[in-house]
Amino acid sequence: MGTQVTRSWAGVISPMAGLLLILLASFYVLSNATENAARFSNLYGWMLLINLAGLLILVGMIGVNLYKLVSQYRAGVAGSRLTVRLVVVFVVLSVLPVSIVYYFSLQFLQRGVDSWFDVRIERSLEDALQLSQVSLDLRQRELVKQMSGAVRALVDVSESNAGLTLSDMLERTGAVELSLLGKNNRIIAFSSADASKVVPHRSNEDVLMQVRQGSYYVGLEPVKDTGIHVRLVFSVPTGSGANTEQRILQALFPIDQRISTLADSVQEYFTVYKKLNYLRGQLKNSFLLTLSMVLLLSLFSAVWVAFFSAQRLMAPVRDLAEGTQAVADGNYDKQLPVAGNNELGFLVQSFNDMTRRIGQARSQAQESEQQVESQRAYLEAILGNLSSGVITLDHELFIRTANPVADKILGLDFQDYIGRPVDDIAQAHGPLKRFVDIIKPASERPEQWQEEIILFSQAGRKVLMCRGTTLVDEAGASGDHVIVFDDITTLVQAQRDAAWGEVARRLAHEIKNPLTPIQLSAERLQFKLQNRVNDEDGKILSRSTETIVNQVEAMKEMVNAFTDYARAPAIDLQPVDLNKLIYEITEMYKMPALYIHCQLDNRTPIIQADGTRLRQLLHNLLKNALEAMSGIENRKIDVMTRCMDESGCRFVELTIRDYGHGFSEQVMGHYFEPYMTTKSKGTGLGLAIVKKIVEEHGGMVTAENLPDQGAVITIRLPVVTAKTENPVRGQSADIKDNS
Amino acid sequence: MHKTTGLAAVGILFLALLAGNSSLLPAASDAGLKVYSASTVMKGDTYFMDAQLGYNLSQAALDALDSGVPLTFELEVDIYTPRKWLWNKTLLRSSHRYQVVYHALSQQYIVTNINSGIQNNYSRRNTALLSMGRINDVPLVEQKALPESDAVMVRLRVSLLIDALPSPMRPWAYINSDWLLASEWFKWELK
Repeated sequence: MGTQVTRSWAGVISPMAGLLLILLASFYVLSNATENAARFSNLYGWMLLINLAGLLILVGMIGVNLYKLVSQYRAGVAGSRLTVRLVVVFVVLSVLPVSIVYYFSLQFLQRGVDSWFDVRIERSLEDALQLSQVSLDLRQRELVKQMSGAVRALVDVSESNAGLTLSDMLERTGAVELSLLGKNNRIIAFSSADASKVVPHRSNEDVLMQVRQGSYYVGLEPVKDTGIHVRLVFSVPTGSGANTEQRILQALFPIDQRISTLADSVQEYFTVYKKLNYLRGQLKNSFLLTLSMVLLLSLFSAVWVAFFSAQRLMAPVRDLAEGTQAVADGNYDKQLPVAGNNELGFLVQSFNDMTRRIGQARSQAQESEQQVESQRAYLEAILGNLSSGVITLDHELFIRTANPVADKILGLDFQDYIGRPVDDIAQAHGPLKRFVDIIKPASERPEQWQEEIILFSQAGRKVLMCRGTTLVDEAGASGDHVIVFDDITTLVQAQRDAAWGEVARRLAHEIKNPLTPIQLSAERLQFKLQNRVNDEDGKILSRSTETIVNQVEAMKEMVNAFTDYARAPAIDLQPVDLNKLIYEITEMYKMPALYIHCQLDNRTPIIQADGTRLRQLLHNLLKNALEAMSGIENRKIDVMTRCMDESGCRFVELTIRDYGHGFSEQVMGHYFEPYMTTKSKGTGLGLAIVKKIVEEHGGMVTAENLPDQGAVITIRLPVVTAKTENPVRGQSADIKDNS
Repeated sequence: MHKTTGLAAVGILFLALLAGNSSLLPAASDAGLKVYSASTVMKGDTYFMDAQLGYNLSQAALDALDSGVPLTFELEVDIYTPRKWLWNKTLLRSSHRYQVVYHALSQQYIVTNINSGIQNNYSRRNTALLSMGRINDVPLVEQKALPESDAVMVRLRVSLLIDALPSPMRPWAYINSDWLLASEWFKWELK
């Protein structure tokens, strides 16, 4: 099994969960700070900022997701449409209830805050405050009355006695602090119930100015850490005339502890209520702000979760779509990340198993294909190296394959006919019509067949041995046809040559022996009977005897010719200058009305040959040419030698052309067989002997009629020794007897 | 504390700008805080500061004060050496806070110097604000703490501390010019 690819979402979930937790915590702090909790009050601004920043981050993330989704949707990415639908459904499902909750929360918030405030409560608190003030007002009046009398004790008191007087007065009046101020508010004397206090609570300038104008001041005054007190300030006239000095007495009286506690309580609650009443609008707005931010957090989180969930849900589906596309494109190695332990995960796992098995199957198929290809190449190599031509036809006789030897034997390029009907060959190559006409019906036969086909073309007669069979598949149905054919022209020719050789040998042996006794007997008959018969019988005897002797002589010549043909003496290879030999032989044929044109290649090398046999060969060819031109006035023979450049001069070509009547149709393809002649005289062994000599030298000979006139015989002899060219022999000569 | 609240204020201001809040426009009234005059006097080895401040509060601030909301003001004093190519080198930074609150039962405005704890009561609001604006004999720095050669400057600013307001008021105070009360820096040469 291959390695499993897993998809990790932790990289996305963890930061997001962290962000949401931070935002929730900050909302908790914000909520508490709104309610004026002291511990979070200082963080209020920061919490607002953090929450707004968090919301902006969420908006950014949603924007990025939205942009990606829209891009994927427009690009037609697999799964994007379903993702859009899921996102829309998720968003609608989350936005609707949250919006409803938000609406009703707003209603409750408005009503809830408003319910804190009631006109009756406000009125009650104001009444309580006034009640407290009235209650304290009575106390103030009492103190004014009490201090009005006490102040007289300070009139005209010297600064040195003022301290004692104030201390006495402090004890008598129950004040907590008394101070006597002189000109410019200079402290003349000070007395306090708290011995640690050395500086009096000073009245403000307004009060002092008011008192200096001849009035007095009484009022409530909150003192730090000790609660509400009553402050009394009196003017104390001192001295007379120019020494008149207006002194000021400041007195601070406590109020009853119980009244003080109640008054403080009323003051506190009145202040709180009034402050709350004042802050009602801001409070609502703050709650609204917090609630709105919580709503936005919920909404944005829900939208983000919708994106995240849809993408996570669709990821395996998208992977599957991409995987399927990859498989369709031929990528069988595609492995998808495992989507978890659910139905989609099972589906993905199944897909992975499928691609893995397809991949294995493809590997096996490739191996099989390679083996098949290897076998095919091997078979092609075998077919290519066969000496037989092999072609295959399908059941409709369309050509499927052919090996190179088939091209060579039939003289065409089968590649041009692959996939075409076999009849096309016959149409394009007329000489092959017979071949097609035979193999077509033969291929219809269910059994193996064998035919000998003789083809005629410009190249000559060609004998093919064809064998064919129909391939049968495993189901027994017949299908393609295989046709194997060999060019057995040479073999047939060899068989004929061997047969003729045997005939010649037997003729020489069986016929030549009786001929001499026959000739001698005939001559003896003439000699013995010539004088015993009359003249008329003698003439008949002489004529008959002469006829017998002549015919025996003719038979002897024929038998000698056959003897020459059948005799296969070991050739004596010697260096031979072919051009020189040709020149010598052609010189012998100088005769009237014969023009021999020699065009001899000066590059022709010295060849290893039997000079005597070559001389016989040339004689036979020239005689044959002359006989072919019998009855023609201006006889002409072209003799030409040529070094075969294309073969690196490994062959020497000798061509003898006459301008006679050419070979007849009767001997077409049998030029070099004994007795293949249309001439009235001669043994018919001339060209047969030529061929024999050529083959003894390892060469080859061909003969053909020329389109315009005459025939040409071409001989190729191998250059056995790699000798250099003979520089003196190249020449062109015209041999003609002008006598 | 002041820095953090300032940052938070900037953030909220930015968000308010995003929201297109029109309350950031200057208020129609000429409310504001101002440093009319300030000077230093050396007594012994110590420099003392006298200053005259003007607390011209907006109607919103006055309403809040009369409704029992305490208002806290901060005097920031920087003693620094001015530099031509670099920012000024601060030698000393001090802060003095004053709070004014209305006491309904006694119908007094209580002004408290938070640094010293000294509390004064005034029956009239204007008197309380005027009293709060009179700064006398506030010790700043000893002479030996100052560099001998360089010129030394003092700057003074007074502002309303929004962070000292009740929480529900703050979001709107951060973005409302009625509450964004602060004077310009008042600078003078110390020596």
